[in-house]
Amino acid sequence: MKRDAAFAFVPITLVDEAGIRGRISAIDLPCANVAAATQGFFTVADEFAAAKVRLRAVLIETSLEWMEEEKRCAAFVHGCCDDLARIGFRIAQSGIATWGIEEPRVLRLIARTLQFMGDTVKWEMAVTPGASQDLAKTHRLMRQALEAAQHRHPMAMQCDGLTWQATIEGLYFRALLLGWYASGALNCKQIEIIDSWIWTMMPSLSGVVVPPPGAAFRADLDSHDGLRRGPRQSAGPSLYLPQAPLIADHQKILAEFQAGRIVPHAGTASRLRIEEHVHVLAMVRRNLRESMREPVPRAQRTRCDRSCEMLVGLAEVRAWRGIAARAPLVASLMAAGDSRGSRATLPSVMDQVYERNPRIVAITDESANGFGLEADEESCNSLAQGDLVALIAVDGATGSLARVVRRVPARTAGRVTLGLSRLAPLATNLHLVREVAGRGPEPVLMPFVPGADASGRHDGFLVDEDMFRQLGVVTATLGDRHYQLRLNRVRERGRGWVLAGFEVISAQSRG
Amino acid sequence: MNTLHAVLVLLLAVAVAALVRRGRDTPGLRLAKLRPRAPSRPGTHRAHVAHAARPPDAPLPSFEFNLPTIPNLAAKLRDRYIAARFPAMFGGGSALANPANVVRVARLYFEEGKADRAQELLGLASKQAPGEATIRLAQLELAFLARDATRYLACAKDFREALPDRLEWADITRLGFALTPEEPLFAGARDTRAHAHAHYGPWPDTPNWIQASWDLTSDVLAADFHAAAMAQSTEEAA
Repeated sequence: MKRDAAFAFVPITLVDEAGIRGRISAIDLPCANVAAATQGFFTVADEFAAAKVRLRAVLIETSLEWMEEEKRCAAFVHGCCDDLARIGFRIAQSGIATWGIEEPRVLRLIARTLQFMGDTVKWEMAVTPGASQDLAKTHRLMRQALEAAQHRHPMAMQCDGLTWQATIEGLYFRALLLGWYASGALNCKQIEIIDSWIWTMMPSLSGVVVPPPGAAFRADLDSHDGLRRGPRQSAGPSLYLPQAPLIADHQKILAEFQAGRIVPHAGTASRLRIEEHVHVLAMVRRNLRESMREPVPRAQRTRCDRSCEMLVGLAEVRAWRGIAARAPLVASLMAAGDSRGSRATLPSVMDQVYERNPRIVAITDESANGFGLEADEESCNSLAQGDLVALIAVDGATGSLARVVRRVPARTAGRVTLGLSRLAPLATNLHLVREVAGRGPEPVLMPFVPGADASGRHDGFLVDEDMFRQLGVVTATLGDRHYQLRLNRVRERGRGWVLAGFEVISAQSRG
Repeated sequence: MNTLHAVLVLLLAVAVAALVRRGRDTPGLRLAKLRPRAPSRPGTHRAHVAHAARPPDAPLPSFEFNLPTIPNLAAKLRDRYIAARFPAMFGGGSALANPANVVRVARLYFEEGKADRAQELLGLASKQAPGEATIRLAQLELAFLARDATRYLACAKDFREALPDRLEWADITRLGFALTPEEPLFAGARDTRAHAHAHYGPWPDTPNWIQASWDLTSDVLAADFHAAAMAQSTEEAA
């Protein structure tokens, strides 16, 4: 949803941004007094944390698309988290040198710094996605705590107005897990949900130094990288995060949702739509399950440099064949009255009467599973994860159906990078007829999506959810036979569309 | 007359203000307002940590949810969870009251390679109607077909506890023995024929609790329809 232009320039004045920035800059100055710098850091960090709770509610809970004001606001949050993480790290190093790591102030400083490092990773997705994450300082703090056996020292931490029991080790893994999930496949709301669950899973975020039996994440303590899977092949210190406790926690969270309770039951994430939670639950489950299997090599990507037209949404996909063959207006309107029924052909007629602005996108890479695209931000403004798209070749003859799984701003201003998951080749629109009580036969136009093999068991139709629920039995006439079909399953689903499987109930010869 | 106008204007203003306020709240926010306020003290979401008793290197104790259940709100949230998890198939908990339909949909999910979702659906329906054998048997058969011994054993134990006198127990032990011969619960099935259970769906030796079709006509028709639709597509493209 696009926010009305009249509201575009209403500034978000919930917090004193300039004041907070100034106070952060002040503690960034070279400071000989470590105690004063530490105290200054905690004061500003508390002030900023309180401001962040207010801003987070505005930025995360909105159902509206972000305008410039929100983007600037998110950049402010990200910038402050990044600055505080950097300054916290510097003061922590001074603190360790002056007082030793066992000093409670130093441990708290490390914990707060790791928290800001995690927040930076989280907000990076919204502000500068694709920025390479350098986690060397995160690893260094963990290594220092580990060497002094202080990594499991429990302390109370505040996040989103809630208090949690945490450890340096838990906060370290939180930052790494957020980096793992913040790759663009989840939006800001969903990352917020993941984060809120990570806080509840804090007791399970406990690493071991030798590869455990079963699946585990790996953090290389002497690297700049995020989490990896499998045992380390090269020499060097690593920590392994076993996944069995995470799977158990996931089951606990799932059970809460099944019983009608949102986890956690307070905070920003608890006020988000349940569909977002269900999406994240499924994503985490898929992720954990994949880790139990042998690693599957990523589908080979091929660099491309070609353009194609992109259709967005079910209505455009449905009208596709009509667009390909343009015809004079009179002929189109006459054709609309043919035996197939005027309602079925109306979209294609309208497309021929009104010139459309084709949405041209550049395919940057392609694999057996999907596509990477780059496009104008303006033409893809309304696109979001879960949307249905069709890529039509320049000759207009062939098309591929796909769903949007990733949408992040490109490095070039005004452009967006899209990740699409391939669904099927776009075959044809089939004209079907359904019997409606009291109204007789009614034509229905549905894009047919063939399965990968000729058995027909994996074929489907693209419909909207209402149609899926209400369609009942439909008849298709192909060649010399009438087929009676019934949609009976949901294969894939996204915003405003369902890829429905069907069963063929009967087939009869014509006449 | 002026007083009447003033009253009318006042009523109109109140109505507009109410509408504006209603429009501002999203359904999520309205639900959120019903929920209890956020507790911001330690110990609400997790087990208390006994600092003194903990060795310094020990991990934090595992958390246990202790969330309040608000009956009406929980039912609403559960309905919304079911609608979001099984889109277009079930609108809420009440739709799970038809066991035949639940089993049919679970079978379709399983055939689509969504075994987890199928089991979750059956699990939710089973919790709603614990005495319903159809659902529990389908759960067992899907676990067997997925060769998921852990789940099968758990489902078998639940079945035995909830419905101890069912005749299907003989079949359950026979399939269970094939999965985990060392499990004492299935020891009674030692003398059954080997490999009598190695097939999916409607074979003489599998119970077909998931109500798979015995008829292959629909498979033939599906292939026929596929060929006809592809022929039309090729024709159009040409």
